[in-house]
Amino acid sequence: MRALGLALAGLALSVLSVSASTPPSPVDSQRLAELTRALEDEVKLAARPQVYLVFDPFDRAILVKSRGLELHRFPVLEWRGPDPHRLAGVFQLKARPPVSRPKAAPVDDPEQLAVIELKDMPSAYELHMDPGLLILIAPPASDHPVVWAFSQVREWWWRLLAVLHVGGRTSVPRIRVTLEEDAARSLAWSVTEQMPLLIGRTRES
Amino acid sequence: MRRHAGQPLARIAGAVVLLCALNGCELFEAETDVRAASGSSAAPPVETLRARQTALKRQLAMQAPGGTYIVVDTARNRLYVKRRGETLLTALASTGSGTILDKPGDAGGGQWVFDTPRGEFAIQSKLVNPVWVKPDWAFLEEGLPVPKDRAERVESGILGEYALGFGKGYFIHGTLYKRLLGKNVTHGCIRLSDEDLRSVHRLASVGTPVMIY
Repeated sequence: MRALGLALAGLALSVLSVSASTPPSPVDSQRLAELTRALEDEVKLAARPQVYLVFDPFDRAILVKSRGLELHRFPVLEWRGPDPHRLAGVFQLKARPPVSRPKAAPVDDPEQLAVIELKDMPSAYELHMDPGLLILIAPPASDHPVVWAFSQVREWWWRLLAVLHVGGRTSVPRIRVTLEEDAARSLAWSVTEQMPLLIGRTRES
Repeated sequence: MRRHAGQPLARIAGAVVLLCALNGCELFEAETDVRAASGSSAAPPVETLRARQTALKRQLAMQAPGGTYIVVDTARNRLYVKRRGETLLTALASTGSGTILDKPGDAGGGQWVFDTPRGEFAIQSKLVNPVWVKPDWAFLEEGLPVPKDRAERVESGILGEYALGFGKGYFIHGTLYKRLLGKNVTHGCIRLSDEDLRSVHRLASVGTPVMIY
């Protein structure tokens, strides 16, 4: 029995030592390299007094950050686009999604002020980034089939323009991101012109 | 027979090509890239990457404010005072209405846009019993002529006990319209209740970062 115990202990130790010395797989190295690259980019962004976005396609989240601090997190329900390894990098938003702004006017009751609220922001829109990247934001098809269908048509429209090279448009990578309606509106509210967007891995696993 | 058997396959292939054209071929691209990534031997050794990562995380952490900082969520009209990730205060606020007003005599079609600015700022001044020096838009919005005498622009008692300036004429201050807290009604300033304003004034100093999104 003692010999059997010793043999089992030896076997367990050898298994442990083998697993400890197992070299990391190429996939692990790749993940580490991606995470390191994203950190390098973020250190540069965080060094400046600004608010920036981070889209982690692996973790399915869009983060609003400043100085490396997470200010807000939008869970991504679904996304579709080219291979995320190829998308990694820093982009800048060309323009905010358009919103109709009412004119300020005197009112007797301040509660009657015509203002813009979160509900006035679009839930399906495009974010054009520089260098060339198009992000299409839309709510889930199950919640808003009409809005979703409209955004799908827009996506095909952009694709068609790119295929036909209309207006000198070449094919730019497109990402379609599905957010809850409130999150989509909130993101539209928060983004500003020239806002940096970092796409990359933020966690190792 | 062979030709007949090939026709459905050709149709399927055609349909796949059509779907692919409309829907992006991402699957095919992804497969190609994943293979390329997996086979890559250009990545530095894991130990080197881990050491670099640790150094970068430290660098990133050093960018975060060491002391108190203010975070403003303009979509939900909330102001938070935080320190090292811990929330010291959560306050209901009023932020910019997003409305516009034409600048008179501006041939270029200039407008005032009453948004709370987004980005990172810092507290630049802390005023006690502040008075409001009404800007041109405050008169124009009410349909009144803009006075030339500065004294006619001064209004006291409407900004609360304190005002904390964070640049370009924007302040965190009090309000007479407490029932509007939680709504987007201001001309860009951030309004708080008296009690929350007192706390913010006590917790924040000149130089305290203000992060607005």
